[in-house]
Amino acid sequence: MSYTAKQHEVAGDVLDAIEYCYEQGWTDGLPVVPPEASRVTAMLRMEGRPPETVIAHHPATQIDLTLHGAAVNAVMAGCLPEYFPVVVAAFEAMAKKPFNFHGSTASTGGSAPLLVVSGPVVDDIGMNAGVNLFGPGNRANATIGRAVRLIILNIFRMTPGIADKSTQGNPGKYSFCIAERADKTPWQCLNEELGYASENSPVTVFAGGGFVNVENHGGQTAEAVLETVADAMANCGCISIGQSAVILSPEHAEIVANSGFSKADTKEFLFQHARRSEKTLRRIGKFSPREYALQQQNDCHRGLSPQDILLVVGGGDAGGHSSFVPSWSRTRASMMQSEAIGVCVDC
Amino acid sequence: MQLEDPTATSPIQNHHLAPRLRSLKGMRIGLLSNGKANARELLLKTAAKFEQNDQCTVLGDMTFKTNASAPAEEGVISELAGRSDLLLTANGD
Repeated sequence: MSYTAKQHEVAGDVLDAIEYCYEQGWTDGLPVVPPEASRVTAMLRMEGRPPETVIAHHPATQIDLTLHGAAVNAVMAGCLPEYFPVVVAAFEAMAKKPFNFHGSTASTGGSAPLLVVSGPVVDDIGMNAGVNLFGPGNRANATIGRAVRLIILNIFRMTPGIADKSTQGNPGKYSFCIAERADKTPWQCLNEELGYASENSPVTVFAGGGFVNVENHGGQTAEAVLETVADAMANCGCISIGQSAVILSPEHAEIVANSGFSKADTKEFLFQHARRSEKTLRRIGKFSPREYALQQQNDCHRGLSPQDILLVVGGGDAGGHSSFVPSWSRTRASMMQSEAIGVCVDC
Repeated sequence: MQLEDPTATSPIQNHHLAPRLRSLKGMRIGLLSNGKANARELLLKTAAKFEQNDQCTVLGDMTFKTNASAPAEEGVISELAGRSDLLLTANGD
């Protein structure tokens, strides 16, 4: 390999190396895996392209993310080499202009990139799409999401308080990575819905402003479940013309599908019901004539159309708990993007 | 132990400041809002100070960016520059 990386010689043992990483300001507050050269090499071998290949560019700082830089941070996050193509695809998606990489990572809004992984790679690398979907315990989910944050911190220098101005932040800024639960999806899976072949595995990135638990254990019709979700989407703190991510639990998805609702029907219902009156928005100081003129609706809906809703199934078999993740920004400053992983992981 | 560096180098950017105006007297002021709440009021009140103190003229229309966290759309700055001597804008919330 001809690429020459900057090296740091650290005396002592691995615990000393962990402390060195802290001293350099390379962590997210948690200990990192010291990025020893052989581990970085192993990470890069999963990709195949030269290490100096640029996979993302920051429009404000003009900083480039190379495969090498991504690999070093993926090692630090604790990723196995087979997770690396997902990390790469995530940044290739975020580099697309409509995602607005700068704004979504610098804003007072405090969003974190939510990664939704769909397709065969979910099982190939052992991702979690079930119980504790957004929680700890699964190495792939945890470390892929963490690699994203370490890259944002170390490569792109979105340092909290300096370039990252988020008022309160968001727990997803540690790691925000889930997999679609294909076996419990009663409709077309996300990869095919996005136009990919069934054997392709796209990573969808969504500037997630937070996490809203949507609980309903009594509703037994699609309308009952989805009205609950729509109400969460339209809460005064989240209502905007931005996009939405809705993750239905398997239990809720089954109720909705058994009521005869297709995926399109579900999105249509959510869009029609996730709304607030102009009077309410004016009362709370959130009405913008220019924004809601875009909708051409009587009330102020969340998003501009049902297509603004990312809908997937995920979580454990039991429990009437779904979730809603609002997009960052008060308008449509960031639009979700997708990119398929570029290598075969289990070949 | 040899560790590889996880950071990147910021490229050197060749930005140049516009030459300072010799005087503000009678200058034409363009207004570019980032679309955030109260941006319009802030810019108008600031412009009013220049009208009062320096007899500046404020362009009658205010231009609004569609995305507060992205550069102004292509052509917007050059169009404003063509009919104003200085541009008032603001960052942040």
